[in-house]
Amino acid sequence: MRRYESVVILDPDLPDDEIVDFTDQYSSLIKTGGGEVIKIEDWGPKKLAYLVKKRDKGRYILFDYVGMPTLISEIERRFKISDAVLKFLSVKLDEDVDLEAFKAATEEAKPETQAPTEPVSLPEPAPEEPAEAAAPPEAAAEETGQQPEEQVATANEPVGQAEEAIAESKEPAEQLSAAEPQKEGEQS
Amino acid sequence: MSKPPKKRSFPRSKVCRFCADSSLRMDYKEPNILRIFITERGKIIPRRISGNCAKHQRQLTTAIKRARNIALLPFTVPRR
Repeated sequence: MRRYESVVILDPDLPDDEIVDFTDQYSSLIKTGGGEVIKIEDWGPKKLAYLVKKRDKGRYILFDYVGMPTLISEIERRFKISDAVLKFLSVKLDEDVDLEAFKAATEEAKPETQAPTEPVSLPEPAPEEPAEAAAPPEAAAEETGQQPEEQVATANEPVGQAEEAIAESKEPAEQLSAAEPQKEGEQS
Repeated sequence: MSKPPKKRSFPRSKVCRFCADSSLRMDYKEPNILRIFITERGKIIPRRISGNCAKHQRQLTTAIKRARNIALLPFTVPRR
C-alpha cells in the first residue's frame, strides 16, 4: 500500500453540489478499490499562474489517500477522461503503508481526521458579485446586508493574505536577484 | 604576480533559510514560500545567490517544479 496525494484543478464554474458529487465519487472509488481516504480538502477557486484550457481560474481539490498502484492508475485514467478536470498532479508521499496499522491510528484520531472531509460539502461563500449587487439596495441590505458582508470578508481573506505574502516575498527576491537584471540585459 | 581584478561582491544571505528556520516548510502546495526563491521572471534562484544548502536546494527545485505543474507558480512571466 502506498500513500498518495492528488491535487485536481476543476472547472471553477461548476456548482457546489457537483463538486460534492465529484469528491464523493472519487472517495467511493478509492474505497471500492481497496484504499482508504485520509482527507479531502477544498481550497476553493484560485487564480492560476497561467492559462489552463483557456481559463485563468480553477477550483483546487486535494485528495490524500492510501491505495495500491493499480488504484492510482484508475483514478488518473478517470481524471483524464473527466471534462470537469482541467489539470491534476499526483504525488507519492509514502512507499509502504500498512493499512491495518494506519486505520488503527486514524481510528483514534477520527474526530480530527474526519473533520476535514466535511467542510468540503460546505458551500463556499457566494461569489462576490451577487453579494455586492445585493448590498446597494438599502432595503434589502437591512435584512441580508450582514451575512453577505461576512461572506465576502471570508472569501476575500485568502486572497488578501496571498497578496501580502507576495508583496513580502518579492522584496527578498529582488534583493537576491540583484545580479539578475544585468545578466538578462546582456542576453537580450 | 599581479592581483586578479577585484570581484564585485553582492550582498547575500549565506545561511540556508531552511536550515536556519525549521518552521519554514517547503511544500509545492505553499506557493507563497516558494515565491521567495524565484525571480520576477519565474526562474529558480541559484544556490550561489540564495545561499541554500545543497539538500534543501534539491528539495526546493522539485517543489517549485511541482508547483509549476499544478499552476500555482508560473513557468515564465512574459514581459508586459
